[in-house]
Amino acid sequence: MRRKGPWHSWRSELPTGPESEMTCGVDHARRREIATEEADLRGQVRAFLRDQLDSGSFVPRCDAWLAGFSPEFSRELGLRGWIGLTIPRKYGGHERSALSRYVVIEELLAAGAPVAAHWFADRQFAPSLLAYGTERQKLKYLPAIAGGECFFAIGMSEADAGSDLAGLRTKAARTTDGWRLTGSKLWTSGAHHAHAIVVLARTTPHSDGESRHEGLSQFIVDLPANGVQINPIRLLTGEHHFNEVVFDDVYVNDEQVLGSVGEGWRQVTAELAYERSGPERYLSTFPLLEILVRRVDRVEDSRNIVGVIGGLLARAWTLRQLSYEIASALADGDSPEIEAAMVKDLGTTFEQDLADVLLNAIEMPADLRSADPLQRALAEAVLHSPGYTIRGGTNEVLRGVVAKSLGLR
Amino acid sequence: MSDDRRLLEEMATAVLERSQPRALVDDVLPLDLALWRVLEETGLARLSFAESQGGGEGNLQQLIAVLKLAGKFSAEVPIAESQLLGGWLLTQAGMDVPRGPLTCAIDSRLECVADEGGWLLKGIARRVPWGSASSSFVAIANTPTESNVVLVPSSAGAWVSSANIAGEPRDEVSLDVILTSSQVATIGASVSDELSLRAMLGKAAMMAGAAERVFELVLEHVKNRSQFGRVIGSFQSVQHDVAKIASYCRAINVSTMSSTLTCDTLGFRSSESRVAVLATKVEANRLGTLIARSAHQLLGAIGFTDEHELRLSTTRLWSWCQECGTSATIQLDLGSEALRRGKAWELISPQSDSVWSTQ
Repeated sequence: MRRKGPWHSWRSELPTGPESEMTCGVDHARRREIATEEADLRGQVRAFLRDQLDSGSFVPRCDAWLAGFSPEFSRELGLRGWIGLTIPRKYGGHERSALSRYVVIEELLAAGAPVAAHWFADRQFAPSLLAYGTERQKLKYLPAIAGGECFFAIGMSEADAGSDLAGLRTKAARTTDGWRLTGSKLWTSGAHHAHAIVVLARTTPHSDGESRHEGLSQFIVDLPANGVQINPIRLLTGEHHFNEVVFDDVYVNDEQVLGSVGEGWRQVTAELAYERSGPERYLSTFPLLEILVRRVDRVEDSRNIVGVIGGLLARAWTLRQLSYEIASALADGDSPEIEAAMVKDLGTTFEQDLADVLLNAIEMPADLRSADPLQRALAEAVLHSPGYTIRGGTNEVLRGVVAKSLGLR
Repeated sequence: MSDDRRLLEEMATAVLERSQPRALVDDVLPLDLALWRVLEETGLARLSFAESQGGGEGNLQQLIAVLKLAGKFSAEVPIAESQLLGGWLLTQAGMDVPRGPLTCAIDSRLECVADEGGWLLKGIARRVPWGSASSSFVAIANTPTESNVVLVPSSAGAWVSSANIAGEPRDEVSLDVILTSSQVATIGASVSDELSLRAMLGKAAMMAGAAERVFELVLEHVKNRSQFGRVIGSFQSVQHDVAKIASYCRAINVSTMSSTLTCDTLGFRSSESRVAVLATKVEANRLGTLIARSAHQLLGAIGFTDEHELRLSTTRLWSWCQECGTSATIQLDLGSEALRRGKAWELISPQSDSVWSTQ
């Protein structure tokens, strides 16, 4: 039967975005079954997080998908089957629905759990590999990713190619049986911990009159590698998450090309709806709110902040509906890129507002070195806040995407 | 969208679109009796009632969809009051829903006392929507021991006219009347909590509609208005403001529809529904004012006049922020609930997302 779910009917009333016809092949009973599975899964993740918190195996922190690095925690998640949820079983994954993955990551992010080690492998690289990788590549990487033992870095931005990614200069020159990579990537999160990096490079020189989106390709470079140098770029807090990754005539054999030569731009932009609408786009500072709510009796004069807390919760509730709605659409095979851009603009602005509002409400100094988790989380939320609206497409770029869809450019 | 819903919305759009008010700002708008008659003829006025009441057996989602359109086209009729609120109270109490424009008094202090086979009803109700122009209104009145639903002919009260800043009548009524036993029925005390949540959700839906109309007017304006030799929509700063309005509209819309689905599935009395509706109204209020401000900036002096249609929707957004739930109060409510539970995330994210399980 061809029909559309209620979410899609609401979407048709939105002021933007063409309504796309789509098939919902899953029947009502099966949907209910999936929902029950998801509720069970959420219960399991919550119980696990409670145990972990009680035993002190991790301390909740803000911006945990960038800064919460713990290989032990990632392995533990891998053992429980909570990484690579959507990866097919034959590659070591768990063949669960995209919404199951959504449930797991929103619970982990809201709790401020340390998920940075495996984050890019699970969110970005594994789906790309499933879409474009060779059988050999899938067998090589996916089981280790699902086990929480293989970490990836994504090499996209460069010194002169930030928002204007297509202006990148890293080159791959053809040899008889492979490629030689030269150039440098910047702001590469977690490269110093990664087992491999995916590099977007130009394989065909750009000629006048041709789109800069042509002639780009993706390469998987195992680390460490001869000719690859990884230099730390410290955040304004002094923390080391970003890197400069320099490629000096690095040999990459043909088997390490990801997808098709020349298709790099389409491959990296195809997954934007996933990257821009996930719960990591509105929950980066939520652990601060959770910590505050759990111990508000110790905050002087809580009357001052009860309403502030309520206002932040109202926004978080709303963003969850927006984000979850897109997750449902994606799970149904739709690709609502414009709506995803809106979620990221609204969600990351909220992440910053949460930090700013609580900075102006909590009567305790923000302090990264404090023994008090609230003071520490406040400092993390504020000091990391410049990143929220920059990474994954600046909010200005996102508004441009929306404006274009409205026929304004 | 189901064919039923599409047909319903097409019909409601056709009916409501042509009735947009043209009165000046300093006038108090009359209730649009012609529109009300069309709503009765088309069945829209009794969409949500049972067939035995001559109704369409519509569900909450359908009613909210119509309310959104009523908000979008600034309809001068008490649809929310007659169906979502007053009519619902009557049917809860097992009473019949009368013909004619019916409204509902939420902010009331009424007492009723048994009196020779009937009831004596005394007290006042404030800011009754379309009050003096309605044919009857519903309210909750207390005896010393229980709550009653009362159905009062509007001509029985002494009215003092007032209006919100959009010019919609919000009248005060003083009552000292005898009602027959068929006009009074007892009802559970918890009904007033549900009534206020219903009012909140209905208002948020109307705000979603008003916001959508503002967005349409903004888009039309920036695509046609030229300055410095270019349409202003080609300027990047204007594009960014329009994109933000589009995002805000989407946020109000999706949150309204999501809460509606939750309430339709679990009922208004579940804690999940309560959180959803409170959050929805707070966000509709916050985003509604941002949308109104930004739209007026984009339309410049042109939109700041009583001639331009923009003010119909922006003055409603401003008015409706203050009606059926102001943000400061709701935020205290939500914040207190989180502190009482000692949990933030679990308040906004129930373990079983019942909304999703019913898709």
